[in-house]
Amino acid sequence: MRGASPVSAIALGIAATFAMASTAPAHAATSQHSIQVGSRCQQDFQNNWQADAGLGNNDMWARCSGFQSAAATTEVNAFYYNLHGARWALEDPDTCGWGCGNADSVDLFYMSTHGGITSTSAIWAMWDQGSFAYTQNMRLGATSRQNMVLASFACDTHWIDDSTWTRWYPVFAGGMVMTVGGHDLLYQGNPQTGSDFANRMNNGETIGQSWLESAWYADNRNAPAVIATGRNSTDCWNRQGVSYNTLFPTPILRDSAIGYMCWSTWN
Amino acid sequence: MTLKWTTLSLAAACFAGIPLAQAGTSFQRADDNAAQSLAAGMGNAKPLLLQRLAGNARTTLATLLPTVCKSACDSAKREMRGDALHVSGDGWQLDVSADGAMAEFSDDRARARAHDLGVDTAAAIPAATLEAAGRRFIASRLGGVIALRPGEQLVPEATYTRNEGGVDAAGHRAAERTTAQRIVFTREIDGIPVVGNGSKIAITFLNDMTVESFRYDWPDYVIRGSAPAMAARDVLLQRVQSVVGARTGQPSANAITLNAGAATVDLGGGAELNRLECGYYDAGLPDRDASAPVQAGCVYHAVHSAAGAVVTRAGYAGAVPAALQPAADARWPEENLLRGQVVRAAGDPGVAFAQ
Repeated sequence: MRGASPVSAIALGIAATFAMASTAPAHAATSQHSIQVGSRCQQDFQNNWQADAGLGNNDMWARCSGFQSAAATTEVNAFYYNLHGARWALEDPDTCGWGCGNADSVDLFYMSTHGGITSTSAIWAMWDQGSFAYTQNMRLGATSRQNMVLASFACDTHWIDDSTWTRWYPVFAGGMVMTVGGHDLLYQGNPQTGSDFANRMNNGETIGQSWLESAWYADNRNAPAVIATGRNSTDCWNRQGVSYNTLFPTPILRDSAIGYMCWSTWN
Repeated sequence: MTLKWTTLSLAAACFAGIPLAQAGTSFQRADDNAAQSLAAGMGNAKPLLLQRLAGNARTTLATLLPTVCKSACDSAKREMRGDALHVSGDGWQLDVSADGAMAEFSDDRARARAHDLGVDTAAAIPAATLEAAGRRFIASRLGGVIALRPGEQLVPEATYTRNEGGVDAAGHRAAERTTAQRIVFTREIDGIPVVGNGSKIAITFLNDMTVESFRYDWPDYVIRGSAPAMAARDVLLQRVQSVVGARTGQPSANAITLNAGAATVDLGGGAELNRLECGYYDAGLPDRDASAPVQAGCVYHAVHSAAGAVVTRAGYAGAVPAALQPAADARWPEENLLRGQVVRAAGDPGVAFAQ
């Protein structure tokens, strides 16, 4: 499937500015942010190999389109695609920019599907029967636009235990600053979580706080989590306070420069 | 479908080794209502049809501003964000909905101290202390906006914790620390709780009892109609089974068996019901049709587990109508589904997604 574009943009008025992704400069130290935002979500699955993630109200699609639309009011609307044949877009380096919907082709990548864990990976279900993306195969932030934030509305992917470092270090090793997701269940059925998350970031809240509050207020039984990295504990907690305004100036830590992983959770 | 109680004992419900979610800590009254809902649905309750009354954002702001602003209040920045009024001052922010029934406040300076004030999770603030502090705060600071009509009661629902942790490159984990706790209050009307995001007050305390934030959705309700007949418990569970099956795309007509003492109910099709809470259902201001009545409903939380080489879980939350013949509500997905009118929301990519 790689190289055969599996997706197409939906009618969100998405700018077709594809050329710049692979040649984008490293993140400039500026507070004049233009965060490039892309989403990939999946509500139904090939041969029903995973349960659908929505009722007639299509809460998965509504969540993702709500997020992308709200994010686009202040930031750069890169793409909103599904997860058909998308494993490579998460696990492989980006080579073709927004048109391929690779996580590394944008600054902030938002995803919603079913999630889970193994002892060595967080996993996300793709549309394709039997296909998961594995964190042990991912390295975000190292190619193309160099992803800085991975947001995942899926259950369990940010599970906290003695294997959390093992699951997430490969992803962070590429330089990604932060990931947000669920350390337990995140319930379908409250699609406003998408637009609320984006609006809070637009309004200046930190990215972590935006995630924790939008997910928790949508459903008090949601279990949102934020994970960041730092050279050490103090550095990690400082970096966990990153917002749109401070995202680009945040120093990139790769590989052995990462000395600590810190998390915050509700519930 | 047949329903029966059995006396099978069930250890903690698990999905392939993943323990059942522990979402906050409910007060006994909320747990009792959940148990009662599962045992008897609405029981003998006779909930009326209610209507949320629209208010005014500026009136609410005038009441709240002296509460949240400590100095230079006249210079607070005011702007419209969507249809909400956003006001910000030196280290704080306040959002008020257009109808004045909903507001959210954040003390950003307090929030910045949360990490340093963290305590061992075992030293977290007891629920009773949070309840008392919450009640004092509501009475002293939110009294102008949190009104109770005759027959209404403010009751604590649950507490929640915000925890922090970390691990270094050598694998040494720091002890988990609690940095903030949140208490949620709900409203009872003639003994019937309001379930859903409406009629809720959430107050977040740091460990030094500073209020870091609060948010409420607290409308005035007026009677719109008499009490309709309620559906039986078995019918309510059938409705839950039906909508969860529709949402997962894996419907089941299996008989539902209620195991006494079990933490979950098997809905068939790989789904289990974790919790059922019946009462007046108010989805909350952002998610409801302002013209629709507030009526009886049961909030459900269900989990679907997909077995395979690796296991994924998916949570489904929502509410089913509890009336035998519920009033139409265009923004209540389950009511639409059960009525045979499935609504496709804006944002459905439809055929625009290539395969």
